[in-house]
Amino acid sequence: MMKKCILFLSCIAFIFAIPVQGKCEALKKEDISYNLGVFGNINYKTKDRDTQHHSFSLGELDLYGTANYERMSFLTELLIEFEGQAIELDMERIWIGYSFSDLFTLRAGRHHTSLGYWNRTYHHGKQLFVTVERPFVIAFEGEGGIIPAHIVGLEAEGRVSVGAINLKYELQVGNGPTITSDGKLDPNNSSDDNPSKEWVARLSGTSPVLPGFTFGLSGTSFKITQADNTIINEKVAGLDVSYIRGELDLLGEVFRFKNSDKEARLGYVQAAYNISKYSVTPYVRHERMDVEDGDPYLDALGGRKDRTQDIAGARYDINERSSLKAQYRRDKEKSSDTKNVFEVQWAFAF
Amino acid sequence: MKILFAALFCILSLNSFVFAEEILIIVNNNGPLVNISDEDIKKVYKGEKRFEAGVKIIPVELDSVKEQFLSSFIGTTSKDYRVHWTKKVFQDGIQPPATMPSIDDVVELVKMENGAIGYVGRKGFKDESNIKIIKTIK
Repeated sequence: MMKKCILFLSCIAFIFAIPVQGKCEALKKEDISYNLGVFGNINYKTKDRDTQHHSFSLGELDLYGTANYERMSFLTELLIEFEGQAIELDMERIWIGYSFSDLFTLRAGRHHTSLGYWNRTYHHGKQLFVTVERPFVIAFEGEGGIIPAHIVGLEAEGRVSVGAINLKYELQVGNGPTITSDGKLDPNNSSDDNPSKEWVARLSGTSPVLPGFTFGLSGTSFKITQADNTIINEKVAGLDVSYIRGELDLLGEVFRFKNSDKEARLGYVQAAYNISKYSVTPYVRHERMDVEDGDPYLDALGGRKDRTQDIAGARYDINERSSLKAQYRRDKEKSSDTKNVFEVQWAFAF
Repeated sequence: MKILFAALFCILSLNSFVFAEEILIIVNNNGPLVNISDEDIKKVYKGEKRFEAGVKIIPVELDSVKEQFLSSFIGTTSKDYRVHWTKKVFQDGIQPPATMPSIDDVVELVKMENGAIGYVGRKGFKDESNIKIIKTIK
């Protein structure tokens, strides 16, 4: 209780510090530069798989801070969420890093895994999303996701130009995830529950010849120890492509999950077009997950069925710090009712 | 009426001509950036290049010509540039280039730091000692 109080008070202090320091993009003081920011969102949606009635909801309050000193950098991202009557505090990211060169930056701490494009581009900042939520196929662990979205350990990152191609690599090693008794992935923040470590890698490229175009290949390998001590050896391979230039915003990611018995395929494609004259961005997205019955990894996560989701909506930018989004979502799961959901979000970033 | 519109158009055109100032990109004369390419300068201001020959690059901007620099050299608007840096700070934990209020501030920093790069308007730029102009943007 005391710990929660202290954490909560720290958050309040953090929030109140923002108007004082957050106005400037970077404040320089004795060669240390700081940056503080907040993302937040308020939502309304009709009933869906998780809610019984149409409801308003307080979204996440995402507080982040960075500091830089010489070649060192530090980042923390703290999320305040509302779960029923309770307030939940989640340290989503916290790392310290040292840049040796453009080719090699080393970081230690808790990171978002470099699986695909979305997870490391938007993090928890909903004002950065065109849509209301991230695709269900790459949902976070606590929201029933099957992708290990966080890792505690080391990360190496670097960039190199090869001819007309700018390559970026991201390599992570850390505690592999576990599956909790309520069937959710957990990144094992304080200790690993088996001796093997999770590896994650992504190689992505851009080119001035094709401005706005990015391609990426990523993958991970990890072991899950089940309650009966049997081990699931899971491998994930991903391909992502994006084209973001001018008014057009195109994204696509596919992943293949494979263990010794079964495999699952999932992915999404998203298209958005900004009509700058009206500050409006209409968008569409198609998401899909195909699974095999009896997959031990998905069964340990409470089971998954084939599912598709189609979204059509529009985002209105009130200004560069805030947006209103309204969308229709058709959520279709095998052997289950199709859900037609209408949702609205007011997102902001300061 | 047509003449009035034509006159207004001429005045507006003249205004944009008068206010479009030559911009000079400057670096420390003894630093590693004296031969940096245009493509790499763009990467520096977008936070995608942070080192040259083992030296940390310190980019700085001049408030009064920032808009012009962004549109004519980087190829973006100040709004899109701010959004880009909001994402960059959030993703990589790095800081955006510091924006200086006066030419003297930019010049002083570029003189002091081997890895510094900045831009200034041609008007008011006098002190060229220990500084190399690597590009002129018209």
